[in-house]
Amino acid sequence: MPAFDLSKGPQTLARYDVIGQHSPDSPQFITHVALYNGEREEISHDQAIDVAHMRPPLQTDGSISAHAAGCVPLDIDEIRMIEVWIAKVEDEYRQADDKPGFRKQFHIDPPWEDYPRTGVRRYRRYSCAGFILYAHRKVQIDLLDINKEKLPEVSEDTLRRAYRIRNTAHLEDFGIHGNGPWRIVLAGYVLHALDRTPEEIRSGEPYQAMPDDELF
Amino acid sequence: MTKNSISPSMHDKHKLGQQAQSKPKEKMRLQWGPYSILELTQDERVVYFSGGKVFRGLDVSGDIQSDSLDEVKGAALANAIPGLLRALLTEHIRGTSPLDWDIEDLSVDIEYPIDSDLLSDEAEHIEDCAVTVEDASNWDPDRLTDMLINLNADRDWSQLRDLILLAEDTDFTPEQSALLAPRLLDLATRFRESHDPQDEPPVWSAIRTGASMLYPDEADRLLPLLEPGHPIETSLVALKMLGRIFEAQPPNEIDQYPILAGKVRGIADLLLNRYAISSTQSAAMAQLAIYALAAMASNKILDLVQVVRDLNVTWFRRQTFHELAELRDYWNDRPTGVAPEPQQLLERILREIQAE
Repeated sequence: MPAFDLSKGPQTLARYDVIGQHSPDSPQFITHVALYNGEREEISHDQAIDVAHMRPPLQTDGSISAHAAGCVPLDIDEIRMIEVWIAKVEDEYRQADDKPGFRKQFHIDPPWEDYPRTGVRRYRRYSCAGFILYAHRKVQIDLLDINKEKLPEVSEDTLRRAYRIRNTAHLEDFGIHGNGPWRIVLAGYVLHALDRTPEEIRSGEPYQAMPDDELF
Repeated sequence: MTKNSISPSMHDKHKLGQQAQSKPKEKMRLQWGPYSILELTQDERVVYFSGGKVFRGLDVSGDIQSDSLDEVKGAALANAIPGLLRALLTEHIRGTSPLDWDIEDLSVDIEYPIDSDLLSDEAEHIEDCAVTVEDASNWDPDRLTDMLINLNADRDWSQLRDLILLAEDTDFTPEQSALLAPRLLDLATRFRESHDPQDEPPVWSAIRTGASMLYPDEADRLLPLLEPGHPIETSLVALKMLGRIFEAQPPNEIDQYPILAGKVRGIADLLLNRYAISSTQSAAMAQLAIYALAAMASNKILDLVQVVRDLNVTWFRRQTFHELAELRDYWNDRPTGVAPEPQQLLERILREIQAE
């Protein structure tokens, strides 16, 4: 089922469909993706909707404005499995807004990583895209090829726009090393991965991101 | 606008007033709960808190040297500070990229209107408040360990809550972990009786961090936390961490932890039925119990496989299989490998779950 820009008209969403947000500064630049956490309803452009997402922190009761959307779509069993998975990990992020250092739950490269990286893991860190991708992996849907050699290079300017970064001094905390360009997962890639037929998505061939796929 | 959710105890308010009365014209440091307010000049104050300090930012008129407790603007100021800090550090920052707000010694100019009822009548707004915030990642683990161990759990719980959350993001040495694990689990056991929703995150965090510091032979320290029915439910988190302890530190033999396995098997027996797994939480608990039994290489899992199959709930069987397959992947990725018996048991479980 193709992904769509909601500015072209409203669409009906089902639970755990993927929502994209455009940058306020750069038209069509997807800066955030989330899982729609409501029941089946018609959604209009810029409508505030309930989501589960890695903001950060990870919120299962968040709300964002919807600008774009896409889905596999998921069947009832898969929705149920994602629900159960979220129930298992939700404690790791509850009310993390009050938690000093909530940003530490965020990780860009790789798009998810356990903390601590060795030993007994306490929680997992995600990017917003990583949370979506991992949720789909929990139902054996591999949306995107995240192998580095398959990802397009991203410039510092694109990185800044994607994550609205003004200070790049501590990018290493989020897994970004060196001076770029980098091969990392951007939020827009998720929507392009969903902009295929269900058969293509479920074929077992994850989508390979192309340059400029940060735009949708 | 974030409402001030921190209220000083009456004891603290009184203490604040007393200090104001006793030292009307001297430079004062007022202690109020976890916050410390140092008056630099009449118009300049530094507020120290667990996450850093705020200084020179308050366009607040008010005389901290007033006699009457009701009129002590310092009290109003102290009341305002938590709301201000929370607003500055959460609500406003949310509007920008979280990756921008960070970093030791970062100065951020913030203009942020606040409700006048948070401050004295003269206070209208804050202009160009310079905020310097210490990055929590710079907290010294030694200092954090010392405070977690030595703060009084009853008197200093509000401060301990924040420190527990910080500890979860901190790497400790084995020596520090040996001290912290029992302390954190003890705090979780005590404060799971709390009816304050704010205590849920730190209780769960204490379990995750404390459990992550346990060796397999110490995993039975989680047994009390497997008990359900407390105001703050800890059983799911404890069960999850039990599985993770053995996922990272697999046993060398089958059935090395019979008491622990017996308890977990009891949980699985209660939840592996169609009624229970129709609830998301119960389904999650049931799967975590199966995962823990597999990770601790208990033979008690074997007949549970047939129970899972007999449920005839496709999604549950499929998800259980894939969760256990992830355990196999974890063990396969271990540089030191896994002893053959636990691995063979896991492979057998996977075959039997999937078999038609």
